[in-house]
Amino acid sequence: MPEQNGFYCQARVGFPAPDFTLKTTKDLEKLKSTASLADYRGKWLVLFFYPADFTFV
Amino acid sequence: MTAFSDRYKEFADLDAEVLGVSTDTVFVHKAWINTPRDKNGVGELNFPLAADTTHRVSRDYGVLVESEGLATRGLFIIDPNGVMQYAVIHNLNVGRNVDETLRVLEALQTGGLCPANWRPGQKLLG
Repeated sequence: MPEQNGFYCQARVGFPAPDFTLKTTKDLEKLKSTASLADYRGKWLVLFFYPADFTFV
Repeated sequence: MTAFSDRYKEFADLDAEVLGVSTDTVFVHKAWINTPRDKNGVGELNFPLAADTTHRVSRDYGVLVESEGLATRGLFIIDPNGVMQYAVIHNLNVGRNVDETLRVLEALQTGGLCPANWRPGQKLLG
């Protein structure tokens, strides 16, 4: 596993992507809906990170 | 963000979903979405935003700036089997290129050998 900033991170091209389950804005009213990596099995996923809302992406 | 949302259909046509992640809460995401673009908001988006409030996912993907509690601009393409096929990380100041993301996605989906600067429609090496 590659080491970064003293932490071992799991993300590596050619290997299974790190699992996640996060709250999302899928249901903008209730904000209770989550997304997990497993939800995207059978589809391609473009997962992107950005520093903060109210900034450019 | 709006650059990806405006071209969401091109991702959908390639059977790809898009998910944006920051360390903000879903409540802040909602406020951002409910703010029009001309007021520094992002406006309605064609894909969801996720809240990595524990920073765990950002850390796992190697994009967390621990001292600031925020994520650098990492972008990952994960295939239908859950395998990471592409990873690019920009530091905080530089945005990404949607054209390049789509190009790489199409290249990956050919399942063949795509040489440097390959463009969709061009011949594969094998």
